[in-house]
Amino acid sequence: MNIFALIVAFCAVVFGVITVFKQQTTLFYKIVVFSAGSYLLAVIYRVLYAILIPVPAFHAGYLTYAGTFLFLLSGFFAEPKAYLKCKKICLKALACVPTVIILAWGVWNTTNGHNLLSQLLLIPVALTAYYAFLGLLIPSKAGEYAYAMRVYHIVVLLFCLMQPVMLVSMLTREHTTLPILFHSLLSAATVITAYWGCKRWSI
Amino acid sequence: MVYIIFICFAVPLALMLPIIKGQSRSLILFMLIGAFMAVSASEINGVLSLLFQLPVYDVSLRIAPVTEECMKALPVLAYAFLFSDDKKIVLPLALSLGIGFAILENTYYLINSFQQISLLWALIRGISCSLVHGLCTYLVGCGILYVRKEKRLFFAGTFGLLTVAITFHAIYNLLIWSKWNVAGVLLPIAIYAMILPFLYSKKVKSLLSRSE
Repeated sequence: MNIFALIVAFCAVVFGVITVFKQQTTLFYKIVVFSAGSYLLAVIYRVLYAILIPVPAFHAGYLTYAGTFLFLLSGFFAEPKAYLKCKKICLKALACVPTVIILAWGVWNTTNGHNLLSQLLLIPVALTAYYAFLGLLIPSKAGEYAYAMRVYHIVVLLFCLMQPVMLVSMLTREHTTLPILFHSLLSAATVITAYWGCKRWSI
Repeated sequence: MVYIIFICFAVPLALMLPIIKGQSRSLILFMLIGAFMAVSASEINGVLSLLFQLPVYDVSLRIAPVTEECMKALPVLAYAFLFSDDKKIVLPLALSLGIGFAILENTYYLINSFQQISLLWALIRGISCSLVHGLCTYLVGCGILYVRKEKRLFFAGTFGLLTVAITFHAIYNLLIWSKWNVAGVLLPIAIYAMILPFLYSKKVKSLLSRSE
């Protein structure tokens, strides 16, 4: 399964790099490709660590997963800022739901004896989930950014919700197959849907 | 010991600073800062190792990549944020800082294990270690120029870049300390070999467009 994750992450980066260099792309898309690159590095480190060091422990690979979400988060600020322009308090409050779920999950994991530092790395994941969900809630018409990026927002939201599960499976090295499978596929899907969304938006 | 090495390295360079001017002065200054950051990082690693009761191996795998990359990124960040975000200025300075850091670290290792090392060790360590430090700082420099455009983007993007640099460094350390140490040596060389033609093709393209 680790090899599968490596191949999927590598293919996503290759796709991203080719599309970035092939045509003029937005800063947002470049940042999304960078997040895929960060994810590839995290997978490489995690696989190497699992092979070379038998004892599971908190390592630099966890930071890179957080880095992946930090890039996705900064991608939201690179775009036409539909999220920042949103003034409706009720929408903003509703967008906090996945953030609260992720943070609560982190607190629950910590109380169950998992490493506190690894759970703190869920903060950028929670922030990313907020903007992804806000992007889904913002009312938009065809041709507008939020409308074109709807699928991307769904994928990012799922990716964020998957991260706490992945974190626990990484820390315990138990039940890793399904989390790794979905996590890597969602990571690759962020690049593809971002590319597709940018294309639809520019049309 | 690390302070003696730093003084031997820093004093001649510091004396040169008032004489040279322009970009050369900045390059030398950043090399000096890189060496100073290496000393600071070694002190911080030592304190953290005592605090968490970790052996050298664990410090090298878990703590050193984080402290070293953060220390190296700080001056580049400060320069890009306060003085200039010109690609032609920031990137050479970032590279120079990384090299300064690598020189001091290599010298420290050389003196610490003088009896066991050979000419080949010095050559391999010189190539791989300097490339890792240089490339990591260069990467952070490259990214900062992109994410500097917006304040919110800057904070999230900078931490993202730092995590990438930390992981690249950690992968190198993990491989170097394992039975796959040859792969660890080859990793930065391979990445350098991939980046170099890309940079040169960009330079050739810009030269051709200028001549047209």
